[in-house]
Amino acid sequence: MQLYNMLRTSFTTAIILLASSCNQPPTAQPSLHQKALTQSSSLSAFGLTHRVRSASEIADISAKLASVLLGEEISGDESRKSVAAATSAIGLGAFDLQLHPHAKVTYREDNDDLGVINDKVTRDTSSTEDVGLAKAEGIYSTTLGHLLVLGVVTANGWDTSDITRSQIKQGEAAQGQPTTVRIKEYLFTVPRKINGVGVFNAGVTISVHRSGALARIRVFGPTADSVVSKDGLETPSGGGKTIVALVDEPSTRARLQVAYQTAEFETLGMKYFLPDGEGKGGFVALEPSQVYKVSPVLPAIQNGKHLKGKGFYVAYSITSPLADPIVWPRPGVPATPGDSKP
Amino acid sequence: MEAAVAPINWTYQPTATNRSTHVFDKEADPFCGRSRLSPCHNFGDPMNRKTTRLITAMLALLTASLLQPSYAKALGYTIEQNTLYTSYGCEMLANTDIPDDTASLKTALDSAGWSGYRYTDTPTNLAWPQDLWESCSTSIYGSGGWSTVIGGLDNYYGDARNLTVFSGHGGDGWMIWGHVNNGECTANLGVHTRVGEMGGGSANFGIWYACSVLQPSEMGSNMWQSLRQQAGFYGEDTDGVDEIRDFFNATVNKTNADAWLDQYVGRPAVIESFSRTSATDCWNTHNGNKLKGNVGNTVLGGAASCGQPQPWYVGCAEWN
Repeated sequence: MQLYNMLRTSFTTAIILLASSCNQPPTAQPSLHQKALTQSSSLSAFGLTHRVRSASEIADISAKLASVLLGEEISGDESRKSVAAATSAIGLGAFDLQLHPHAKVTYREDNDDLGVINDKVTRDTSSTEDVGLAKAEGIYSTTLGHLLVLGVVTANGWDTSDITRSQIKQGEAAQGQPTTVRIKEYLFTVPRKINGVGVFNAGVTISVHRSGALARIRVFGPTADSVVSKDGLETPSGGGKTIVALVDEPSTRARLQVAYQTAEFETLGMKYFLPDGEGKGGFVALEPSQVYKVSPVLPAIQNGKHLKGKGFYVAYSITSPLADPIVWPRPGVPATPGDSKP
Repeated sequence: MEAAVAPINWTYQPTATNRSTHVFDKEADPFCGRSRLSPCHNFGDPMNRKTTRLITAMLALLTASLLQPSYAKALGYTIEQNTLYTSYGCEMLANTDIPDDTASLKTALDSAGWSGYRYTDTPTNLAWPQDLWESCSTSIYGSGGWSTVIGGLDNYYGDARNLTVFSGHGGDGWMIWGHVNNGECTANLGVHTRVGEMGGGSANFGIWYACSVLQPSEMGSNMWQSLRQQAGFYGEDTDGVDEIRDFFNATVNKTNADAWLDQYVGRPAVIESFSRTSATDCWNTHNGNKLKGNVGNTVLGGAASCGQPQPWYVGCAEWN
């Protein structure tokens, strides 16, 4: 009942807070923390961690996410029982559970990644109504407001001016026929930033089905050890240190081009780079890095066309020009030997 | 050549035929009267015959109910894992080695009661392109159409069990192995590979865990396989080493479609389903099947046998 009252209050508050923004076209959406994100005049090292959460903490967040997703109360007590049952055998590191007949929860500790889907909505591949991008974006904006008010995501560091818009599409094709395509879901991913610098693989994704129903909510990525000042700037909790970038992007790109001569790459920009699975034991002090996605180019197989292979990320220090880059995931021999052939 | 392993029928279904033939047909009862344990049935007494039938039918039902769960759980997998591409005869370029990203999948499959094999390129060099080549010698695929020297072995490996997984490099229907085997480094979905039918014919789910192998625009092309579902990527991707394990584990509750799209959200992931009857049936498969939840882990059925042309099908898909 306590959670229900909190949710009810939170929903009401969120609706009041976001009522004006929801009625505006997407391009006019106010950036929730624009002020903080544009004041990154200096760079700092921060402690980042992939939080190791308790079962009850995961259960509480799951209940809130599911409540927002379904638009009805999901009891925290019930959620705790479900999480306890799901994790009793396999531990907390990664689990999947059904919190409600249509709410499916997935948790992955390696990136502190918690997602909930409403599979009554995600499995709707037959409805014909399409609310369109603008209305879907309004629904996303309202939902993000709910998550902020409920404390599911931190109150700071979401750059709503830099959201990634993508789609899930569906298609059909009979033998020998072309594929007919239509949009199924509109996805909006808000990146987590610290004073304007992105945190690698961290953010919130909200998916709106073409019918206008919420389909998926996912919160993921490391947590920063920071305090937020009144003007919205984040500073390291323990004081940390201010850093000065000594290596510019063209210099790191030049190193990359020498190291990976037969690859194509995508510049992801300056980010706090904590690969999945690292920093689970506590905060790791991190400076921003220049991060690239590298895709090796393979020899031509057919018609002279070169294919691009499985890629990896490379992160270069911006303070130590000669420091070895971080490569993730790192290639290597099989973790365990393969089986013999019968 | 390796010793042959017969494809396994993973589903036990007692039929009216085997019940009547083995139990009630006097002509087919070779042990009649040979011992006290094999008395001759009195087929002349209708009442006795009826009672015998009833008892035997109950026994058959009991046996079936006891056997079926254990057989149904005996789901199988074959995994092909490639990691080293730079110096083992397939002439890849520098920086093309990749991580092992199916070791934890095997552990998860085994923990879930599945059984099968994971073949790796290193150190054993037992991941071969031919494992996914069609083995039917009269087919235009695999050994029949592409090479008359090196035959396909999918009846022993890639098409011998429910789930077949290839992990390595790829693109546009091609899968590329790290180590050369009998002069070959590749398998092409439209040229060499016919899983779910012809030789083997036991696979129902394929994961082509490599960049750009599956193109949604080509679902109606020869690239399809006779599977209930296949999943992969239509563009370049970067995978964490445990992501495919996490996908499998999520299918205990989620559909394969939701689990795949969620695991690779924001990345070029695609999952395709197939039917031989209708688009509605295709979407029913797509919106219902669960690998770990054991929904739809049966062969598609109606598949082409050796030398037959491809039967009609319809595909349906979702992609990020």
